[in-house]
Amino acid sequence: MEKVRVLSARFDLPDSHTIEVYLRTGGYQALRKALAGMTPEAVIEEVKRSALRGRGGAGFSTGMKWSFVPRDSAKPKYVIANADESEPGTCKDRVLMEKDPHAVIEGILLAAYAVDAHLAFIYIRGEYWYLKERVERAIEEARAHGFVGANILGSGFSCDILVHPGAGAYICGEETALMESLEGKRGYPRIKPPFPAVVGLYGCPTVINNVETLASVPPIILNGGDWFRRLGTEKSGGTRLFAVSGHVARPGVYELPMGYPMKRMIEEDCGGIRGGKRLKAVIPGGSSAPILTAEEVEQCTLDFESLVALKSMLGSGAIIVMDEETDIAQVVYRITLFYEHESCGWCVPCREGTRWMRKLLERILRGEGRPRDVDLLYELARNIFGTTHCPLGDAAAWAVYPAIEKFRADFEKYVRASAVSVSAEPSGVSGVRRSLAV
Amino acid sequence: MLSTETKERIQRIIARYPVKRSALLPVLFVVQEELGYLPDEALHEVARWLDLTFLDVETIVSFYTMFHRRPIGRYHIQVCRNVSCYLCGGDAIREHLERRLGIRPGETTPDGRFTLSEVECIGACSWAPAMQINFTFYHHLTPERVDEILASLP
Amino acid sequence: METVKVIINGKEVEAPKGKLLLEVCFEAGFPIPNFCYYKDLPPQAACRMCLVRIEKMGRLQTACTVRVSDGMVVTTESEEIRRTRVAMVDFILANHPLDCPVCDKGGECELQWMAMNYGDLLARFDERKDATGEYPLSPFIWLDPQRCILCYRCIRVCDEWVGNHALGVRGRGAHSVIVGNRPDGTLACENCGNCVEVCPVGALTSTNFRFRARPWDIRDTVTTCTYCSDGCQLRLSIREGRVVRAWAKDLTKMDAEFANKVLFSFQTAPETRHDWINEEFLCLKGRYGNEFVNSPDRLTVPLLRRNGRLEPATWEEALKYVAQRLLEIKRTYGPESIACIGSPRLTNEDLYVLAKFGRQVVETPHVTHAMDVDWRPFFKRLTVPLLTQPELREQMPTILLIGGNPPEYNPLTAYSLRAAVHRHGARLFIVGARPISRLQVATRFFHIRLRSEPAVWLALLDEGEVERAAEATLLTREELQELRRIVWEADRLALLVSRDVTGPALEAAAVLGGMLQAEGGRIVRVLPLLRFNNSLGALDMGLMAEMPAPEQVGPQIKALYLMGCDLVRFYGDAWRQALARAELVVAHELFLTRTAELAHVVLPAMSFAELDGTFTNNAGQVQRIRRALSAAGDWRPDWMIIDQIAAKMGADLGCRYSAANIFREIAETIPGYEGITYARLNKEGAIQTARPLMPLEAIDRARLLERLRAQVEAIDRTAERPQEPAPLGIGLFEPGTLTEHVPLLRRAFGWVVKESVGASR
Ligand SMILES: Cc1cc2nc3c(=O)[nH]c(=O)nc-3n(C[C@H](O)[C@H](O)[C@H](O)COP(=O)(O)O)c2cc1C
Ligand code: SF4
Ligand code: FES
Repeated sequence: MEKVRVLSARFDLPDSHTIEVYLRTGGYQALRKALAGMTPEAVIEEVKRSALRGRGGAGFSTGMKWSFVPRDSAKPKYVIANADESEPGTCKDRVLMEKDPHAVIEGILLAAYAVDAHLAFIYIRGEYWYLKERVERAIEEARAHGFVGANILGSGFSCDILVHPGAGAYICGEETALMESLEGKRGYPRIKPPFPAVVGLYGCPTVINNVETLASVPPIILNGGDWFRRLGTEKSGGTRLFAVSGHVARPGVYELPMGYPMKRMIEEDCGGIRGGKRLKAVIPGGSSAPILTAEEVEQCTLDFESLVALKSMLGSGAIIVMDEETDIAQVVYRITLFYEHESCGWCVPCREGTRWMRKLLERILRGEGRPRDVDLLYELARNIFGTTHCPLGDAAAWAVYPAIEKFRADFEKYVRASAVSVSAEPSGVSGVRRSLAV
Repeated sequence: MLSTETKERIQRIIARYPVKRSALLPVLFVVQEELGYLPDEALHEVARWLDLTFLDVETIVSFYTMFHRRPIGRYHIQVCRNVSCYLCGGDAIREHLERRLGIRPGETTPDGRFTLSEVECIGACSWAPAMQINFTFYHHLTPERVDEILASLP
Repeated sequence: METVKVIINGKEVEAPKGKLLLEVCFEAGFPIPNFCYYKDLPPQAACRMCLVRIEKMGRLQTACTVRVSDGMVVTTESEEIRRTRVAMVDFILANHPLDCPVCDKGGECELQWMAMNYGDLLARFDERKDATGEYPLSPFIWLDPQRCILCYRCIRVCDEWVGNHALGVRGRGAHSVIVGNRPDGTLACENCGNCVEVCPVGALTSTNFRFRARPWDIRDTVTTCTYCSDGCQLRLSIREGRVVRAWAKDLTKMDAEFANKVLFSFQTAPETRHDWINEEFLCLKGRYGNEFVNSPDRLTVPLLRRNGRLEPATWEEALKYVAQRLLEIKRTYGPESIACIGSPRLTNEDLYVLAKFGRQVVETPHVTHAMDVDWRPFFKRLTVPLLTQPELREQMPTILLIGGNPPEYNPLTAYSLRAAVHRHGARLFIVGARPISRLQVATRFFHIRLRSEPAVWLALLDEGEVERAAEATLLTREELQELRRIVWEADRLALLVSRDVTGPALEAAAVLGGMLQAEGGRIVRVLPLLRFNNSLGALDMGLMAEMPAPEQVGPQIKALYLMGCDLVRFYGDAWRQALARAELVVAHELFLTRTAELAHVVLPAMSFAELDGTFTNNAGQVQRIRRALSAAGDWRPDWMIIDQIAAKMGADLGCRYSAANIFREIAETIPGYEGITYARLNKEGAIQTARPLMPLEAIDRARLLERLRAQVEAIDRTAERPQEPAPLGIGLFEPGTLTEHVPLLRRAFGWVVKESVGASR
């Protein structure tokens, strides 16, 4: 499998973030090409052909998403680049924006051209303030060269880009919560349908994509959708950035073709498990993705289909690697803490469920758990799954119950230690009777 | 309460958005930059600029973790506690900081220099363990690195 | 409307396309448990209690957000759904304090019901709960955040019904708490309490109801509010002879089983039907202003002035004295020396009897009532029917309000205006001298000079007067032309006439509707924003004479028969001297008012909570009030007192001991009231009286224009356009004869004055 560098081509060049370097290495050629000789429909068609799927989490076909924007709507249309990157394990958008901000800008302009938007936003997490400044500078450079603003390259097409800071809320990465936040409201996810492509920002049709998704568009337009697709698999086109963290010798952000074997990535690219230890588990797509065992990693390739087959997901492409000494219960606790902290509080199962799971886990980890508590934890996660208002709740559940299925011993060792203290409890009673006064 | 420059900056920010209210988060950042935190009066003023009510602004501020309603230390040390950092020894870094500064997360040193916080993933997973001091990232931390960093702060 | 076929649990159901699935299921007999759903509020999808399975959809769906489409196949009862409901109740109860025995909501709590019906009574939450204490948000409202299930109903109600936006959520996730709009999280609002009412649990509670009663030991009576002319219906809860709360929750729209089993089992409400003109809305006074009934200051026995002091007397003594003195005065000075003055707060029955007494027994022309604005010319020249609240909410795409401040003085009208805009996008145009902060739903606000309302009517009536009106109102000619277009081009138009419109402008308001309709094809309705609960009834009952001037008392008028009207408070201190000059002042009263203090005889009357009767609201709708309390003092209905005095004067007023009998006579004699009976009122709720309409030809329009021009010329041209909205709550909290005796309101006067000014901005 050939390792082409598409997204990271410029990462190692000095001053890669400047427009000079970008222009010297083929930058803004795709925009020129599109504006000069492609209809918006042709741009969408090319992106469809590329089998580019969203790099933000859900992996939805980008070309399809763009084609849902109503062409005949009289309302203004918007493009949003989702640079909220807050999924634990994920740090690839950061590298992309730091090293190659113009690729993101060009991708945004192409998306805007495709859906006839004249204003685009980059919603960037507040913690990345230095990147906000860097990207803003890049936009000004692009404006000075006539790529951003009114009548771009004399084509009659105009588009401005605004960088908007988040302020510390993971939920604002969820596309509709992001729009609420961008509208200056609390970051609550909206009721769907309607979907953003029809009713998005300010109630207008809106395309929202991850920054990496957008940065993939210029090469697609330049080299063709077929070229891009062939870099990856039939259904997961192209290459993508994988942020590898945890117990590998060389953690980092790697660009790899879709369909690349996970095992090979860990062993060859990342130098294997740190300290010569054995692999225990991998969380393959950011904290929201169900954990994989070492055996599952053997058969796993880095594409959407393979992970779906393993009942997990490729998500944001964040690969968290854990060695044999890792205590999965502790890992799950960290993740549960996170979801409790980040739950927006809108809906009951997520708000109350994450709090309950966290408290229960804390008790288990303190050694005060009873054997049935592991089942209870499992059941709570199952009850959250599929009942929440937005996918954050599902993610919180997904971090827990597959881990119990696969690494039950890691949880049970805590309750076994405390089994004595509860053995005297009468059997058949599974809880405390609620006093309900009616 | 705010300098004229800041007020002008704020007006420029507001002017950029198609809908005034959208400028809320950036405006709050600017105000916080000048005052160090967001006192009630500041929220009242922001509300006036954006045609919002105090309630709107306050409830929104409280949704996000990056805004402070009370003064905090000059250096806000934010250690990541999420998985990747945890796997790479993040807890030891936090404990080291607690010992060095003599405070627990959520507290500020008596001299007002440091506030320590445990935060969720800051997007430095591949270079864990990591922390941010104000807006600056510090990667590959070890207790020794932490000491050096603290010593280098003006 | 397009209908679609949906299959619910195997049963084929027809429903209007786009209706909420939850409502369709409910009507099809498959109730779906819910917390955050509330009829007429925007969907929230927060509690997840309503999850159902819809075929071809991957996940369970919230029935409260899904709109039905053709061929939808839905399952609302299955093992999967049962388990999901158990799980949701589990989650809600996880941190909820199980303090039902001391919770005010215990017994009528939706969560309690849900736990019993859909939950698993074996709680599995063994962790420490995150406890918070309860605390007051205002003098009226308490919050217990731990009981809150974050259904956001209160917030939505405040935004949508009340237009106040006084509540929000602070914090995130499990730390989310409902907060008020002041920096410390308390409330600066007029405290209408609608948020408390929709709270499904005991998180928000009313100060006056807390720890005072349990749902099962109160009895409810449906009656009509005794404050403004909008005429809200409310349920008065009585416990051991005292009013403990007023509420308006529509129990019939809740889970039917819940309503029947849990709520009605305790109550013997005369009616369970609920299509009240106010739906479920009540304002501050309607909700919290009824406890004057319980006041220890109520007069309990008749008082007779002896040796310059009012002293307790028996009814026999008092009535005999009044009858004798009236006969004497009539004999000595002639019948014109006696004035009978009623209050626009009393029932039609009382006022009718007073009028009959005045005309037939006393035989005086001075039969009238205390009026703040003289609406007689308006009703005399009315050319189109009056507008009801449901019509205002549902049927009027264009609405014009000229002057006034409905949120303060006609809160239900303000509610209906917001509902009209929210529910079907009505266009609301407001012309006024002050911005109205709680009617920001208005499509446009035309800001005019203080007290220049008449000029707006002039411009509407006659295009040739636009120039003059522009100069008087400070509006531009274009703005006035636009107003004219709005009015003259609307298909269905509602004209709201406030108290700021007086004299010839009032006549113009009455006539304009007819002129517009004469153009053909249009429907116009007017709503006069009268002041008191029975202002219109008082006019209808014929208390229409000129109010005597205080100077007349003494020289011409020797005796004043006052039924429930505090002339000193109402018309000012000039009446003190006037009363002192009178030879006889008789006052029917609840309290020893400033006027009653000066009377020769004070007769303790019954309050609206102790009486049967009717009020006629500003839309001309007759509604019942019902006896909710038995008498705790030796007091009598006003009509009965008069009847007894008349008897002693040798006349029979034909009351025959019951309000129903009097109303029968009203129906026979008063135009528009034909055919209305108590039985019908009980069944139908509000019945609109037919008003005699004036044919356009009968109106001298030229003369009217001339007088209106003169009125416009007299407008003070130095007046400005105030930029500040009228401060919040001042009108509603205004101390009055009744509110003064409501402890909670009396305590709050100071609070409002201090807190409300500018606080909501
Ligand atoms: C809780 C939550 C957090 C999310 N955070 C992010 C994020 O930080 N960055 C991102 O690109 N997408 C995030 N997403 C996915 C977005 O909702 C959305 O699917 C994505 O921006 C679409 O872009 P794509 O199609 O290019 O992936 C998140 C989703 C959820 C449910
Ligand atoms: S699932 Fe969690 S984050 Fe999503 S809406 Fe519900 S409470 Fe908010
Ligand atoms: S009623 Fe549907 S989610 Fe609450």
